[in-house]
Amino acid sequence: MKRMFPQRRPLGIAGKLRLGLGALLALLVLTMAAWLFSLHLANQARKTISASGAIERTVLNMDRLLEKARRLHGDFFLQQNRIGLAEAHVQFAQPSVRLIAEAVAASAELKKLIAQSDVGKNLRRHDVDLNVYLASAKRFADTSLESIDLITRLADPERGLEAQFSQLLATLHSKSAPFAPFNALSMDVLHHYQEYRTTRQRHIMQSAFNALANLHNQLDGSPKLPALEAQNIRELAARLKSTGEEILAVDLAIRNKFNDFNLQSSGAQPIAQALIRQAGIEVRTAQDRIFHSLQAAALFLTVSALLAIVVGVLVSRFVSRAITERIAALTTCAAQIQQGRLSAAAAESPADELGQLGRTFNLMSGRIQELVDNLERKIEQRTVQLGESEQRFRCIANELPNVGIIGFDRERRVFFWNHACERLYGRAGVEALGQPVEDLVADNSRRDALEGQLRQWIENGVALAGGEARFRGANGAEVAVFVSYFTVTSPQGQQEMYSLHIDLTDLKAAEEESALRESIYRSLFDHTSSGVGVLRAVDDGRDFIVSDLNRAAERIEGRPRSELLGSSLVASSPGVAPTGLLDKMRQVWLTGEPITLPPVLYHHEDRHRWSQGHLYKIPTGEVVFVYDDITQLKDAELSRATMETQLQRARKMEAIGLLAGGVAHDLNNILSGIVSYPDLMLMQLPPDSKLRKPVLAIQESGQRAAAVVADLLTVARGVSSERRTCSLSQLAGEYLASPEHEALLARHPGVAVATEFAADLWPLSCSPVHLKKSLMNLTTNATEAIAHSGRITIRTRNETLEPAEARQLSIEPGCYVVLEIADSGSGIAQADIEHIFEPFYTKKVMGRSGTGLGLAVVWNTIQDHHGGVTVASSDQGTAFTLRFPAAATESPLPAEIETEEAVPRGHGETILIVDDEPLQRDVAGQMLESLGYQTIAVASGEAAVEHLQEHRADLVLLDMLMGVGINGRKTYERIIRLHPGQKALIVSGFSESDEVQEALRLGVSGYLQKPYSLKDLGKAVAALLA
Amino acid sequence: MPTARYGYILLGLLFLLHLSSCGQEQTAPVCTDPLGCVVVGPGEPMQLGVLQALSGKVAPLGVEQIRGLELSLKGRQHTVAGHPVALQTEDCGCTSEGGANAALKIVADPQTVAIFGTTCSNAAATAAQVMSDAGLTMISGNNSAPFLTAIGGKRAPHWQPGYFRTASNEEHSGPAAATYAYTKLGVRRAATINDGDIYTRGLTDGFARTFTALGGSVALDASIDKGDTEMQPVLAAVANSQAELLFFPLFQPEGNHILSQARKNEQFANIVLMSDGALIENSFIAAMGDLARGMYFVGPSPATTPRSFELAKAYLAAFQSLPATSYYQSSFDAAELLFRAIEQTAVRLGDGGTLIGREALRRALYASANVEGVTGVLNCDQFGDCANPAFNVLRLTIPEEGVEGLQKNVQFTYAPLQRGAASIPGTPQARQ
Repeated sequence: MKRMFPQRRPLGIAGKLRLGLGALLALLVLTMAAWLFSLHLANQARKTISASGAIERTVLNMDRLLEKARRLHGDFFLQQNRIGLAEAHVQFAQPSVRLIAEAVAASAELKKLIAQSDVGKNLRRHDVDLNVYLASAKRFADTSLESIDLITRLADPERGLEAQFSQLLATLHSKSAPFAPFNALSMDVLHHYQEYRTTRQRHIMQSAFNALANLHNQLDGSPKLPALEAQNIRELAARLKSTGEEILAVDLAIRNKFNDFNLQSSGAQPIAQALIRQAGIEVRTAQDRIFHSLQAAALFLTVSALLAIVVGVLVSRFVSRAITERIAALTTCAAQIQQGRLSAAAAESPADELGQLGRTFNLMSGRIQELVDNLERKIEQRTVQLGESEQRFRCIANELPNVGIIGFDRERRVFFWNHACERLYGRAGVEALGQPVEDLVADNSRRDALEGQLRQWIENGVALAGGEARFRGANGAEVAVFVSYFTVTSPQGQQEMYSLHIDLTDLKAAEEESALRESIYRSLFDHTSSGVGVLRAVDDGRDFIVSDLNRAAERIEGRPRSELLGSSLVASSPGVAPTGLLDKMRQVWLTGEPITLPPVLYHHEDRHRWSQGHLYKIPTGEVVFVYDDITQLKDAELSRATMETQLQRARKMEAIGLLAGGVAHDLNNILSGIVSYPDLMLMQLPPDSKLRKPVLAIQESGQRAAAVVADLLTVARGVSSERRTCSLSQLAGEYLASPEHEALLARHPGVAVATEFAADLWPLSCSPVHLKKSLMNLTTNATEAIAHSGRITIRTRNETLEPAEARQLSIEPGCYVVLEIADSGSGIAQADIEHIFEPFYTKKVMGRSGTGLGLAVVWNTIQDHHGGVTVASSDQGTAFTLRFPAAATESPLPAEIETEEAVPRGHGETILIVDDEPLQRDVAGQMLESLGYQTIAVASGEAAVEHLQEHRADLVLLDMLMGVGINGRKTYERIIRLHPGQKALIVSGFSESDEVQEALRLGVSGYLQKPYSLKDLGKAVAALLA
Repeated sequence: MPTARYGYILLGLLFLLHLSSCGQEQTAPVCTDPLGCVVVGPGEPMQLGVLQALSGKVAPLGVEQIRGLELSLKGRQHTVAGHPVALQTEDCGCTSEGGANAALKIVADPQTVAIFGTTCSNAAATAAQVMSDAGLTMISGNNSAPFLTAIGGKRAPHWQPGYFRTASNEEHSGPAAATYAYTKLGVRRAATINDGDIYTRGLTDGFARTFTALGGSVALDASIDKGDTEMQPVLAAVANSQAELLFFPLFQPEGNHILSQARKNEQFANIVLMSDGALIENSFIAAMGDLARGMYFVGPSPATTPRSFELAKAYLAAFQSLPATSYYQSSFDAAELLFRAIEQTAVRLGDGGTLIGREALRRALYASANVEGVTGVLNCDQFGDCANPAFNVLRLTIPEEGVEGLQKNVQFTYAPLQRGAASIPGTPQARQ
């Protein structure tokens, strides 16, 4: 509530203006309103006049129509006897009906006018009368039509009642004419009727009826008249009476209609008169209203205008006094203040905006006065202080130890010579004052130049640059100074020149010493063997700009210094961030604490470098990186580690080889019986024998054992040296078509094998057996890695390795043929990948099936082919990528097609079997004899030589290792002395060893690995004997 | 804050404006009456139309009707349904056109609630049509022509919905006269004269029907016109018809002319003259004097209820004169029935006004039953007849006693619908 009625504030300028203008506006609005109201009244009155006029006209019209219609109606009644009913209809009745219809239409229009128009309420009150008037008009119309019908019914010349009556009367008269009494009565009727037609008085017709009654009575009592005639006359009389009654009824009805007309007229006319009168009153009232409204409006406008003038004058005076005069007063006050009469005061009341402005002016002038007073006081204080300061600075200038100040005028005459100048130049002040300055400081050779420069400066304003100068003292000693020249305008307005001479003697000495030290440090910087880089931090230490680097760094980076100076470390060495060096630099830059860095490998594209060093921050805020390139050291370490690994592997392999070698020969000999005897037994068993299956199983077991031994030998002794040019795709295809692969897929039906062989695959020189064996081992491993269903993809492609790539793969750069075996198995753990190629690792550690030597065989095969193998594995599968060096352009030999062909048989040739194992001698002898050869078996090399001294053999089947006697090679050497060119076939439980190689070189025709099958033996023997 | 202050002031102005508009937002009363409604504003008078014969010789009858109405209003302090009653009185004369024109004036005002009238039946015939077409209700204490309501229990030709009367249906008046003439007077030949309007024609038709049924013969059924003065021809016809009795149920002055000219006609010396209730009126008796001595009249049995005596006293007190006829009683009953029905129908509106449905008013009147009236128990039937018909045949023996003496001289009472109807001792009950 309180907020509704706040404390009254003084009216401001804006409020006063609003008040004044508001009053004017209110007047204007009032005037406009009055004018509009008057217009409205006048308009209303005009409408009323118009409506009332229309109503008056309509009523008059209606009344005229009804009156005319009544006249015509009356004329119809009056004239129809004279001019005839039809003519009366046309002349009077029909126009009357038309006029009535117009009157009815006009009445409806009148009702609408009164309802819709802007008539006064007095006229509206006649609404009831209007209803009566309208109803009367309508009734008049109805009654008029009914009366016309009645007249027509009465007076129609042919069918009218009067015509009928006349006709009947005529008939009666004609019938009664012969009879006097009746004739008299009929005449009586006629007379009465005629009188009735004139008077239309009922009693006259009643007299006619009485005459008819008399006639009727006389007829009853008259014998003269024939009954028929009497009856006819009675009927006529009766019809006359009834017709007469009808005429009376119609006449009565007509009279009633006329009475009705009169009543309507008497009821309607006053109403019409009243409406006309009221309409006239409305018109006059409206006219009066217009007149009065105009009068009132004129009066109001006059009064409003006068009032507006008065209010305008008052408002203008008010505005003038409240605003204009006060503004003028404020302006005067401001001018006085401007002129310095700060005592001038402006009016502060009333407390509106101008009053506030006045108050502000007063406050300002007071403040200014105060400030002026303060200023004057301060000026006095400052003047005193200035004097003291001048004295102080004069002392300072005089007493500056190493800064000489020489003041001289435009003529270059010295007027100020401080103590430092006295000391520097060895001249006392009194001696120097008044002398040209160039005479005091310059030697003869430079005097003129100095004079010229000073003149130019003083007279022409040519700037005299300061800088180091070597002047001469009074004693002729050189004085090294830094001189600068400046001018000062004295308090008197005169220009004074000064030169400032700063003694540089000590500085020069320090500079020389510093230069010497810098040259020493620069030499150390440039010639140290470690790389030194000075880097300036940018981007808050996220990057560094190379400020300086020494030659060693230039050498280490392999780029010229000019290229690296000013470059961004991140930009010039993109691979620096992963090394962590950048973070270390930032740390040093932020903390200032030096850091010794561990060996860091920088590898980016073709730049591969190990470095080691330390970081520290120097007082300039830059970071210094001192580092050495230890790449060779690291490579050497890696090589050493690799060599150690290889050495360990080699030792392991050697151990395995020794083991394998130790047992392979004996195992193969033992396995010969298991592998070979079944061949002999199968030859003798019928095809449907039940023993074939177990015999085959025995043979297969022996072959599998032999394969293990072969793997062991491969791992231990390496791949056979037999090489030929092959196509890797061909070899892969041969393997995929082999029974072993088919058996593998049969064991794993859910595995699908797909191939993607390059069409233009390069050939390679390889051992097909070992390559196929490697492929078999990898495919077997891949199959076993797939749990239920999966896919193995075998791809071949060509690949050219760049040095960097080759280095990564630890192989020589060049062209390679790539064999890739990828599976969708479960993958190999990263920790196992490094060891999977170790013998027995997959079996012992990873629990895989097989001999545990499969991948070792692959590794050995790769190594022997000077290739490389990489393994990529994840839980989505594993991919082995084998790279073999591509061969020259020699086309690969066509694939060996194994055909099932019969074992070649001999023709009784003699074969000498030399083996220290009795089992071997027996197996070989039975096999050869089953093939049609003759065999002789001996148990040692010596025995073989002895036998061949006496005998000859077509072929010698020579075991390589034969216990304590000479081995097969030595045996062959002796044999060929006896029989040069002797055909021999080496059989051995070892892989192809050096002894075998030597024997082959001596001329041995072939080599057969134990254990061998009948087919192997037969083919080898047949080939040699062919 | 000036803004807040102005806001409060504005809110106050708006509130006042709303209050004032509320007062004006009264919804107009809803009328569901099929014939429309009359809304009488609070304090406004209730408009009642009065159609009576106020000029000519029948004026006394009309005046008696108005007096009966005024007595009823006086008993109600001139207030019906809480509103004062304003009468719009129009002279309908005793003609059909007069009735129509006068009715037009009444029905032109939409505020008219009902019509009290008419005096004469022929005026009622046209007035009833006009008022019925306008949806109004009209009740008469004087109309008795059978043609206005029912004849023989069936709708009469001039019946109009909304028309009621408390005067007895004189379809039994003619029969009453015929019965008396035949049975008591032994008349066997009779003549009738009417003036052509439905009242007199109804009476003469009823007389002729009954008289003929009894065995008599109507030798002459003549008519005159209202306004006729020369009656000799028709009297000559009566005389020539050898009628023993002339039944002339006419109004004044035609009845006067018939009587006076008949008395001058020697042939009428032995002809019994009988007229109707229209001439049971002091002005006729006073005008005719001795000429009317021995004349018979058939008219409605006057009321003999206690209320009728009280009403007679009230009449005397109000108008300082004795009633010229007894028809003020039926007029009183007619007014009472009408006002009772208006009050039953009136719906009070919220502003103090009253809404009256036109159809509802009619239904209320048609439903009027066992209403104790001055003239007896009133029951309005479907044709608008509310009174129990009972007629007396009177004989004027002492003209000086006027209507009062005449009404005491009951020769015969005819009440066909009443059981145990009262009768003057010595007079036989009318044949049912």
